Amino acid sequence: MAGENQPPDEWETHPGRTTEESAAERDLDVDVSKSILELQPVFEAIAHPRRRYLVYTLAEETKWSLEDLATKLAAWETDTEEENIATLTREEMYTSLYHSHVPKLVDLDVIEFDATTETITPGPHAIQVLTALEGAGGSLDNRQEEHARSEFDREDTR
Amino acid sequence: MTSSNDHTDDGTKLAQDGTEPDDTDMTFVAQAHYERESHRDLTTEIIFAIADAADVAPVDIKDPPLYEAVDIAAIEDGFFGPKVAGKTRDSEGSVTFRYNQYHVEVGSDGWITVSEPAEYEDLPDPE
Repeated sequence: MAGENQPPDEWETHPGRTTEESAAERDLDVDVSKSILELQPVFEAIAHPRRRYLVYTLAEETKWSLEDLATKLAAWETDTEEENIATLTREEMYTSLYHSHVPKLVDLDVIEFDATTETITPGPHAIQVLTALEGAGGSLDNRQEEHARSEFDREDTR
Repeated sequence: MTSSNDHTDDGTKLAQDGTEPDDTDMTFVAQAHYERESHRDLTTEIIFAIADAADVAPVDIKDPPLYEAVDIAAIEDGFFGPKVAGKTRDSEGSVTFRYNQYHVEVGSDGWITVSEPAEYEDLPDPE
């Protein structure tokens, strides 16, 4: 039984939105299946650790050259300073990104890739994937999150 | 010059004609071995082998992205995938696909073989 101590329902505190709500309720079936469908790109995007790293970098900077991204991800994955990444290691990462993970994320609308300038920018689904990564937190690769967080902290203190 | 031997009595082409492109002489060009524990993923190993065959740097192999040519993730899962519920799902055999003029074969033993039709051998490099 709903007593006075119950928190007020979100919708009741915003009476102006009740029409939207009932419209949403009428379309409930559609909305549910839509939201489930929208999770698919999220799961596929984060299924590979390298793609999780890539999406993390988009939280830091919204525009990356593939070359810079390859260097950064190689540094993260091998826990090495960026300036110490060997050319071969960077070329391996670049190849893996260019021929596999970048087109995959483009397919999933998580990133956009300009093939002429080889620049990566977030796509329509980037926010969803980032949110999922942040929510999943410790259950993902801990070291990976640590790397990403230490970068955010550095940004904050600038 | 056409030979009547190419056709059966009712005019249909003999089956062997249907496999024509694969029947041309193939020349082995390069080989690489993929280790599932390697830091190089299968995509990278294949592109490095193709670069070796083409005698260019791997980062200069651009068009098309391998992703557009073949489903590497499926090959990786089928041949080198992780165990599922304690059981291996490794298949045995090989997959062959075209990448530009190259024929690339990936075996379940991890060997990647790059060949090209013999007719390409004597062609000058495109300008």
